[in-house]
Amino acid sequence: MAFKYENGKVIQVSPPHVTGEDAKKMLNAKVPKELVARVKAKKFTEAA
Amino acid sequence: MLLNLAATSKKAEREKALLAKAISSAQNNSTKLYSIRDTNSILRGILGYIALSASEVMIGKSKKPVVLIDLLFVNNDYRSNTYEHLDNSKVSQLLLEYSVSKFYEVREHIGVSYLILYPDGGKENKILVDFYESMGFSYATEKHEWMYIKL
Repeated sequence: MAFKYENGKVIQVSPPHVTGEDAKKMLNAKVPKELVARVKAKKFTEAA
Repeated sequence: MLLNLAATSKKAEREKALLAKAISSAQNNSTKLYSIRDTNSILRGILGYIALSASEVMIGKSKKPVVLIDLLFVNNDYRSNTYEHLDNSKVSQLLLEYSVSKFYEVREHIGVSYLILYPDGGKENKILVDFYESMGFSYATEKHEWMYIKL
């Protein structure tokens, strides 16, 4: 659940139910290869 | 000027509340909160935070396991700047790239399909949404709320 600030307080919102054409698009989405390559080439931190 | 100050104060209040929520959620293991620093020590202190958790998205009739970015927060001192010594990146970009690297670490142990987030301020926060789109995120539905990348 992601955090969202609304009317002066933080609420948590649940991920959506994706249907129809949106679902098709999401299932067939392509992996952003350039981003993945960039990330895999980097060497990253500490738990806060 | 007063209006501007009020807006700044309201923004600070919102960010403080979101960060406090992320910290309390991390304390009960509902999310994992990471801070990021500059190992070259050129930039001082904490550059930003990212909070990650496990979740699922219903796509059609199937449930897909996802890594959820609960919060992405950049220290005010380092916003909007590109740093040459950090691969010409902005801190927000580094935080997102870090979440992608964590996604792949998680995938070594359990199945996950997507990295998803809910942009702070929603679709009205055009600068933020444009940034996420430039990083490869797309809206999940026509409501233009949640965004995802398939990994």
